[in-house]
Amino acid sequence: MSKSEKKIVLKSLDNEAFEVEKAVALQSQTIWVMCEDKCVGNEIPLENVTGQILAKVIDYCKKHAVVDGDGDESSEELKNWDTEFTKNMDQSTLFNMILAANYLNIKSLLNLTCQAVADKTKTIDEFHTFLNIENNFTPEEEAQICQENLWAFDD
Amino acid sequence: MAMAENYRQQEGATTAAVETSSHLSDNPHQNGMIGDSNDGFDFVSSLPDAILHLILSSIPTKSAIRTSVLSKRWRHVWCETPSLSIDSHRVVTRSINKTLASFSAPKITSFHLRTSLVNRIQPVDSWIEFAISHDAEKLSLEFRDPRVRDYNFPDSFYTNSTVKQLLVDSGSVVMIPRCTVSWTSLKNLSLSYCKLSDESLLKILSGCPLLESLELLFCDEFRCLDLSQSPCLRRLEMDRSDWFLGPTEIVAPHIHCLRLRHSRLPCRLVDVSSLTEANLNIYFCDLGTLTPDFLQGNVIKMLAKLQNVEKLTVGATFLQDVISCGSLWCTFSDAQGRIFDT
Repeated sequence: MSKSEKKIVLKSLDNEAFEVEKAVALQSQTIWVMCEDKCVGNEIPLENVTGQILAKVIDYCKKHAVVDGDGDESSEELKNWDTEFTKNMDQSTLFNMILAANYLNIKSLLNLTCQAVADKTKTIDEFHTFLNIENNFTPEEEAQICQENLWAFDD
Repeated sequence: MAMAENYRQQEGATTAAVETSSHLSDNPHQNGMIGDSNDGFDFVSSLPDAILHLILSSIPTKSAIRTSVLSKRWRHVWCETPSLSIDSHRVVTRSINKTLASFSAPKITSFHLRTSLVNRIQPVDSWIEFAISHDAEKLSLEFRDPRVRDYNFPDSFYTNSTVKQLLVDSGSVVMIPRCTVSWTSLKNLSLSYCKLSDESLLKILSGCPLLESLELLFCDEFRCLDLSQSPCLRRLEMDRSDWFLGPTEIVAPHIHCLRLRHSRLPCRLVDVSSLTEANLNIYFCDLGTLTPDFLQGNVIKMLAKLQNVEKLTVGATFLQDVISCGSLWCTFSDAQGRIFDT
């Protein structure tokens, strides 16, 4: 395989181009299928993801790629890196990462980002404040729902 | 591009990571694209159910249920979360029964139950059966109650072809399979604080043809651990203490990785001929009955079985014993990549 065939160009929704190793990009099942089908050339348009998000996704994939003996990072180091990666993401970035991971079908990134949302929302109040969810129940309706599974609301 | 359109495109993609269902038609936020910053917008509620289930999968079921009061969008989302984690201490049995009855996902990927067995044997049976009937791939049962020793798992527990990962922390329950064990998909088995006779253990092992990893943490009563009939088994981890003696003989010709922690009785490695990685953090506790010669003899015998190991990690106490057998250690000097962890 020549050097150029090992590289692939990913183009974001806002026309930002990223040249990456094929092994890095192929962690995305969506890109993998596109490459298998040979329906695209060396440049893959990703119409659902902005450059800003795609850059982060590529960072993640680079870290998790096993490229020619480069993959001897210990699992603990990788875990710490993952924690740092999502730690300070604001909620819009986090949700765009979830959508991108889902669209690109990168299961481990989807799990990581969903886990990050769960970690930031331990209480119902945090759900309302961090996630901006507006309560559209009447107090009576809310009380009724609590009654249905009382043990989950007992403290 | 409008966000709603983005979502629709994702739904159409056959390769999407999770199956998405539409809850987006009433999405009030139509102007952003993925990557835009939109502070104050309720992003999470606009995500497809399948992704919300993934988020709720990583929190305890109790917290997942609490999301039902967030808003109308969230009212029933938790019911289909494919992963349940229930700590039933201080919860009345009928509440758990009611919760499980409202659960509507056809399949469970993971079921974790932490419960006391006191006065609960029948409901615990039915909760385990609930997990099995929903094809749980990962099953984790924690019975932290030393008062109950004579619980018998239901037969359906021992004959389950979907479970891939099984963790049992049994308090002090004696595991005695009354029927033939058949865990035909099981790859990872972790037993903690289980009492198992040699016969029960053999019955369990012969029912797991695909077993790759075995953890026996503070398990007791069996004396010989014979893994010669587990051809796929690559990893064995065993924790013991002064109270949980564990086996005195290990026959494990197929394992590549062995981790042993603590031991009061000397343990003989009968056959570990495929071993490439070993982590021995053990000590031979001298209760006045074991002479230094006897202890050294055991260390020498153990080391002799580790000739082909490429990566060896030993704890401080074991290292002392190794050093006191210095002359023999020279025979290992040509081996590669040894690590000493003191």
